[in-house]
Parts: sequence; C-alpha cells; structure tokens
Amino acid sequence: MSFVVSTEHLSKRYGDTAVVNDLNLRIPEGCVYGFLGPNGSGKSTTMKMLLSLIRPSSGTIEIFGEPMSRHSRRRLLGSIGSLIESPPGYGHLTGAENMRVVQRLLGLSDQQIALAVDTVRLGKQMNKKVRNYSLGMKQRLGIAMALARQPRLLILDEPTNGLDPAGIDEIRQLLRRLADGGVTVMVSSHLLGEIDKTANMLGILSGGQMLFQGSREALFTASLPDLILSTPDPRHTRSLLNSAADAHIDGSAVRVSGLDSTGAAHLIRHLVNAGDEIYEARRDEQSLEDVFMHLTGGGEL
Amino acid sequence: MKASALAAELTKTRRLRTGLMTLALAVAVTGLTIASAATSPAFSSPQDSWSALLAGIGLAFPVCSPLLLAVLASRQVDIEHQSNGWIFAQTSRVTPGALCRLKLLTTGPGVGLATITASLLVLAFGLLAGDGGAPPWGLWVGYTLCVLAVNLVVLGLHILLAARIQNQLVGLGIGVLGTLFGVFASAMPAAIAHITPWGYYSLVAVAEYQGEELMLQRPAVVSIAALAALAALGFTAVTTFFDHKEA
Amino acid sequence: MQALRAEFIKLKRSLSWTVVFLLPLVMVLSGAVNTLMAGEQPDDGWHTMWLRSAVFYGLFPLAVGIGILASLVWRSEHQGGNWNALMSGPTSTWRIVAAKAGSLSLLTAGMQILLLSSVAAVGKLVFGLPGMPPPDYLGITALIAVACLPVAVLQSGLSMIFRSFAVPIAVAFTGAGLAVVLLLAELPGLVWVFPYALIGRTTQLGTGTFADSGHISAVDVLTVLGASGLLTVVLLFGSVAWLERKDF
Repeated sequence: MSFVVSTEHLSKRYGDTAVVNDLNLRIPEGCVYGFLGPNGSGKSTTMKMLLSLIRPSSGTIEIFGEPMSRHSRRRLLGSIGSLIESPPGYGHLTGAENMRVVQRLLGLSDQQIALAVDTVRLGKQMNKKVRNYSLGMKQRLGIAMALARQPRLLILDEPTNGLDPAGIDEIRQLLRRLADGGVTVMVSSHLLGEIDKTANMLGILSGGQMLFQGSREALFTASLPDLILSTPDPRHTRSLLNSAADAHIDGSAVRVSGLDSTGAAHLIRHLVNAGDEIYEARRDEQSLEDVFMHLTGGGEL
Repeated sequence: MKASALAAELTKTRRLRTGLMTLALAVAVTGLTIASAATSPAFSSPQDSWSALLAGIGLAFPVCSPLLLAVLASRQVDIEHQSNGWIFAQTSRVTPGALCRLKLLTTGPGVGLATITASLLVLAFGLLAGDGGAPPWGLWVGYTLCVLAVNLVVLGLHILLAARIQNQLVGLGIGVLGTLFGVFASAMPAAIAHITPWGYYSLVAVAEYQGEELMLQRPAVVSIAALAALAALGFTAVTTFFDHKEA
Repeated sequence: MQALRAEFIKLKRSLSWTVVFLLPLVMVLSGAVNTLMAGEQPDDGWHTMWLRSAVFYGLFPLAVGIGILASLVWRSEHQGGNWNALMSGPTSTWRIVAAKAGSLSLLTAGMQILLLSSVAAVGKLVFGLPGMPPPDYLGITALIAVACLPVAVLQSGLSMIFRSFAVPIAVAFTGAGLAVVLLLAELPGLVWVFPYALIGRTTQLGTGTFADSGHISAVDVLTVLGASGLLTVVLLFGSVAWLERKDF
C-alpha cells in the first residue's frame, strides 16, 4: 500500500511539554482519514507540521513519498489543499473576489475556480461579501479556496466545527465525493459522530500520542461494544449463562462484555437452546468517549 | 517574488479605499501648503515666494503623512489578521515575510504617486499664483525625492508594526506620536531628529524660518540615503525573521 | 455605575491606551526640548510652559487621541459575537451609550491631568521654576476635560457605528483640520458649536494665542460649559436614537 502521508517518530515540544509525541501517521491514498481527539490533543499542531507551518522538534514527514522540509514545501504545497484553524476569506471582498485572489496567487484557470465553487455548491452566494456569510458558507468558501488548486491531498482542521446538523451532513457528503474522485482527505474532529460515517481510516490522538490507527472495523474490534440482550426475565437469562461470561444485569436487559461476533452467535444459540426468549440482541452505541475508555483502559480523555 | 502573488495582493486592495486615502494625502498636503503660503507675507514678495511654498510643503508633509501612512498600512495588513490570511498565504506558498514585502510593493507606488502629485500641484500653484520667477528646480526635485524616501520608510515601518501587533490602534497611536516628532523635530537639534524616522521629515526640509528670515538649504541627502539604506536592510531582515518565525 | 465598572474591566487587559497617554507627555517634553534648544528659559514661567505644551496639543493630537481611545473602548464589542451579546443583554441602549461615553470621558480627563502633571514635573525638574503652577491651570484643565465631552460622545458614536477603526480616526483628523481653519479664521460663533474646534479653543484659554485675549473672563468659562453641555446632550441623544433604530 502506498501512503500519501507518513511520519516517523514525529514530535513537537515547547520547552518541556511534548504537544505531539512520537507520532507514526500512515494515511493511505484515496481514503478519508478521520483524525480524532479531544481539544488540545495535538491535532492542529500535527496538521501544521504536515504543512510545514511549524517545524517538528524531531522525526520526519513524507508526503507523496517525498520528505517535507522547508526546501520541498513550496513544490509540495502546490498539491495540498488545507483549511487550518478558522476558515480564510477576506470579509471586505465578495466570494468571487476571494476566489480571484486564490486564482491569481496560484495561477489557476477559470475552470479550476468554477469547479471548486461548484463542488462546495456556493455558486449563488459568490457576489455577496464574505463578512455577511453564515459560518457554514465561510467554511465552504474556505474549502473551495483549498480545492481550487485541485490538490491530491486535502487537510481540513475541524471543518464541521460550529455547523448545524445539515451543514455537517453537507461537509460529510462533500468529503465522500472528493474521496471518490481520488483525493486523499485528512479531516480532524473532536467528535467521533461527525466524521464516523465518512472516514474509512481513523487515527485517535490523546495528549499528543496516537492511541489507535487503522480502519473503522479494526477500531471496533479493538474495543468491542457490549452485547445487550432484552429478555422477559433478565435474572433468569443471567443464570443461564455460565459464570465465565462477563455479564451483568442492566435495567431490563443483560449486558455482556468482551464478545466478538462468533462468541455472540454461540451465546445466543445457547440461550435459545435453553428455551429463553430473546426479544432483541444489539451492540451498544459507542461514543468516542467509550472508545477512549476502552483504548486507555478507563483513563480520562 | 512572483507577479501572480502581486496580482493577488492587488485584488485584495479592492474596497479598502487605498486610492481614496492616497488621494487624501495629496490633497491634504497641497491644501495645507497653499493655505500656509497664502497666509504668509513672504509669499507675496518675489524673492521669497518659492521659499514660502517650500517651507509650507516642508511642514505639510510631516503633519499629514504619518497618520495617513499608518492608516494605509494598517488597513492593508489587518485584513490578514481578520481572515486567517497568514496561514492561508503560507499554504499557498507565500511566507509571512513575503506577504509584508508584497504589501509594501502594492501600497508604496500609491504613496509615491501621492507624494509626487502633491509636489507637482504645489509647483503648479507657485507658477500660476506666485511671482517668484523660475522655480528652484534642483531644490524642488531634491526635496520631493527625499520626502518620498521618508514616506516609504515610514510606510514600511507601519506595515511591520501592523503585522507584528494585532491591535491596530497601537500603530495608529504611534502614527500620532510620529506626527508630533515630525513637526517638532525641526525645532530640535539634528542629532535628535536622526533618531526616529519621522525626524527625517525635518532633515529633508529645504526652507526654514530662522527667526523671521526664510533660509534655503539643501536637504540632508547623506542622512536620507543612510536612512533609506538602513531601512531597506532592516525591512529585509525583519521580514526574513517573520519567515522563520513559526505560525 | 455597574456598567461603567464593566467597561474598565474590558479595558484593563488592553495596554494600548498607554500609547495615547504618551501624547500629553510627549507634547510637554517636546515643548521643553524646543525651549532648551533655543537656549532660552520660559520667560514668563509657568505661563510659557503651559502655552508651549497645551496649544498645539489641543489643535490635533487631543482629538485624534480621543478618537483612538474611542475605537479602543468599542473594539471588543465589534469582535466575535460580542456585539450580539451586548445588544441582546439586559442593558438598556441609553446605558450602553452612556457607559461607553462615560468611560471614554474618564480616560480623556486622565489625559488632561497627565498634561498638567507633566507641565508641573518638567517645569520643576528641567527649568526649576519657582513654586507650583498657579491654581488657574487646574481650573483650565477641568474645563478642557469638560470641553472634551462632546468629542468623546461623538467619537464614541462613530466607533459604535463603524466596525472599522480607521474611519472614526480619519474623521477626528479631518475634524481637527477643519477646527484649525475655523480657529485661524477667528469666527467666534462657529468655534463654539463645532466640537473639535471647542477643544482647541478651550486649550487656548488664557494663552493669548489665536483669537484668545490672554485673560479668562467669566463669559468664556460659561460659554465653554454651556456649549459643552449642550453639544454633549445633543450628541448623546443622537447616538441613542441611532442605536435604537438600527437593526442587527
């Protein structure tokens, strides 16, 4: 597998505090990489290092297989679109004028600009001053400014921050479309739910350290959600399970922890054979917090 | 520095009323010079007519320039603070220092044009309304070029200030203090006038009242050249430092 | 009072007002340096000291200084969601406008006290003038502070209306320029009703410069007080009316 972004032992220290510690990022080509972590976990710092906006204290970065450094950055940045911190966009100019700034800055064609504006569906708002844009519109303009150069890699820092559910959904669909078009997208968020369904690769950061990196499936295998069984008499159900099963009664249901798919199938067959009635068997909804709990062994975020 | 980046910087200038402000500079300097000349008795005597105009313009520039230049620089730079523009520029291959240099390149010519226009307008007024005969061409050209250099140095300084200090009111406050330095430096010894860039407005002045007498003198060309060289060096050094500073 | 205290909390963290407070100090110092360089002593003692410090200060730095302070007082409100928070809060329009203008007027009064203290300090330390400045100057300083009220209200209103910090300061600069023309033209009527000219005229009281006679009559004092009071009230009502009618 070829990686668009890979880092080796990437660290950033300010004085004695390590903001990012020994990070080995692997972002495969064409994926949507969800970069998750609570606020202050080092996501923005990492993204800024990838863009060479700040220099790593130690470790190396390779982008498109080339080392990212102060020398190669000018060339590499031509193929990386990004949105870091708050969205750019000059308030005193209209959307169209802002796009013209980008066009002139990067020497782009009219088609490239039109395509970017179309992609974020901002065509009707282009003659309005950016000062009067809603947050969602500003966010989309920022993405259009990042997309105009037709990047191979798109780095978005919390693009859904402050958006309403419709806005979040729109960004999600946009990311999906871009990935389908072959663009590798790295997107950060402090909320799993916001990028959960779009990202097919996940990296989870906490306190500057990578807790987990891999596919969604791998993540949920690494931290199996509890199996929740609804039965007429949870006490009876519990008594049918052998004492080895990590099961306890939770209201009107029985909650079983640490079961993989095969284990769950066995357990249900066992209960049915024993004559118990099962109304419902489902996996618990897992929040990012729950996943963290599992990954950190109950530690705080 | 690429032409495309310069074109982009020019696009940003829209609606900032940069043109209006440079026009205001030209009009204010011309107006103040003509007003002060018209009220000075020296203007009506043939041998002092040009000197009166030169003395007037020598005062009008330090009164009008510092604050207007501060506003001009601050508006051009503040848009970057307001819009996360520094980071966007960096990811578009324009470093913060380069952005400052671009801003000097886009605002500088306007200031230059305003300075020269004001000088030409006052010259035209002198030719039409005065009866001092042929203008002192050498002094006139020398003064105009020197004051142009001082204006550009002050503009560059304010661009750096505006970029470094987010609160733009600080730059404007310094602009007001600069006006005071500029106006009062003519009454201070030359050594003190050399300390701040605004003091050089008095060093370039070619006509001065010594008591009641209007005296002509050559502008302090060496001082101005030294200032220009030092400022060019300083501007390059500071913008290079911006480039290496982390976002 | 509560609203006024809140204003000062907002200003506390912002050190930029120090730049403006340097203005009176620099004025007095440059006046002193000029005098020293000319190899003179202030021939008329405190009177000369005051004249050389206050008159130019009143012509333009004072107005622009108030303009910058006004932008500073309003700056935080124009950032982020603060404007909406302020407008949707329980504070009445009247109190918002009054609190801003009030805190600005106190800062402006501070500038005048600093001017007088600088004159006293420089007069004593640099020139060794006998005694202290005559108490008259305390009265004139108070009058200047009062005369600044209309400009403070006006600049506060402009900084409220315009998000841009540059526009109100440009207005102050232009206003001060027009004031100089009015003062030079020695039009007694207009000088008293144009706020920027009013502060210029008040700093000239007793100096004998421009149209001033050199001594202060009761009529002068009453005119300054009356004109300031009237202009302040009119401008306050104007600001409140604007804010009441504005949609956000």
